[in-house]
Amino acid sequence: MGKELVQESSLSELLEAFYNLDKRGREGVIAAFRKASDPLSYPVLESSLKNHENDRVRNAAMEIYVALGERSLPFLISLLNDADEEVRTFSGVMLGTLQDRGAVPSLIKALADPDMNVKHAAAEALGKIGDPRAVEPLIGALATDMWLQFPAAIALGNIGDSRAVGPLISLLEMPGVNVPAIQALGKLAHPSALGPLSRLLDEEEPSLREWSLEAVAAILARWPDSGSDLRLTRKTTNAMIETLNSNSLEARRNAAITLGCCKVKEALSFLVELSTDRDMGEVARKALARMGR
Amino acid sequence: MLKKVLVIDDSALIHQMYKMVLMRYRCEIIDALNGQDGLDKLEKHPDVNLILLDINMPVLNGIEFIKKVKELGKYNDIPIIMVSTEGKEEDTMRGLALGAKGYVKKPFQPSDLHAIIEKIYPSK
Repeated sequence: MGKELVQESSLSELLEAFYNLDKRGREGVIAAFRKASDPLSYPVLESSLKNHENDRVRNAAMEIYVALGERSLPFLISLLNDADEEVRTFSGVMLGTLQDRGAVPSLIKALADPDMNVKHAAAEALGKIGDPRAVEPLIGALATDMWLQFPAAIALGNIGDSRAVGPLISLLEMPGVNVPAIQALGKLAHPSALGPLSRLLDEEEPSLREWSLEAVAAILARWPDSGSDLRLTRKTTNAMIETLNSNSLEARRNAAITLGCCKVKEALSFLVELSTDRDMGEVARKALARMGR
Repeated sequence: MLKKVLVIDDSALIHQMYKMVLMRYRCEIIDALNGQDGLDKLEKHPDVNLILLDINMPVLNGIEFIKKVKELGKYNDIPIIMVSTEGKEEDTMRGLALGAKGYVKKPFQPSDLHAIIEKIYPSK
């Protein structure tokens, strides 16, 4: 075995200096850790990660763990069992950034950690990795506390498995947690969610209305013919026609897509007017074509 | 009245959660991913009237952010609510001593944050 070029103490000093260095200097620190053997570098990283007195050193260690990639995986998985809940949380966050599927079983286990912040980090990480093995455990996590429901719902949207559609629909009636459920259902883009989501289109709360419209438009963009089966109330269609004048271009486009796919006759003149608009023209013309114009 | 909130947190997911928690105020929300980004956003949005500040962040952490704000002086009137985790009591005390108006601990419930905001911006 070759002689180590760096020592434990010098690696610690490099971590101390990390945030005082420019980009090139930081790359040099990462290179030094790359060159060092595991028995030399990881004890330094671990003790720095556990340094509650110095956020800068701890954050530097986290950057190095991630920069070392797959090599860090067994060490981070092991830290998911650390006695300190903050260390377990950081480990979950880093495993999410690494996005290595090898961490999935341990992260699933971490969904049952006694600490809510660890569970939250594990759910978020599973969403970033996107492995379907996490679908059922994440569905189980939907029936818990908001702090876990939120990342679990978002994760299910990211994974994109249709088993999550029903459980997410059942969250739509729950204030607060319905927000990530709406966003996840938009990503899943399954036509069975159209009806339940459309009932939120005349919500009093503008943000909720806008997010629901975004999800409905995302589903209709994939399944345009499903719009014909959607029964919209007068209040909903009026709200969407109003949205055609919104300050948000995205909201205007979502409204045009939905009005076109649902063939809302009352929107015809507004869409015709928008068909020559620089930003909205193309979407409006497509919507008109859907309506047979 | 709460009109514009600067949320400083390094987690994109937490930013989404804040949008849900703050929905009832119908306020504009500006996102920043660390303390330095927060200072940059303040320059662009000096009319922010509340800052929600995570403590542990890369580049410039929450305590360093408060110190910088104090040094600059011009944002001293903007109330800051710190968001910390268990085991961060010392940092929380330091932040309060530096002038932060309050703090919540993760995991918090929306009502925890609403109660602090209500003290700063009473609805009645």
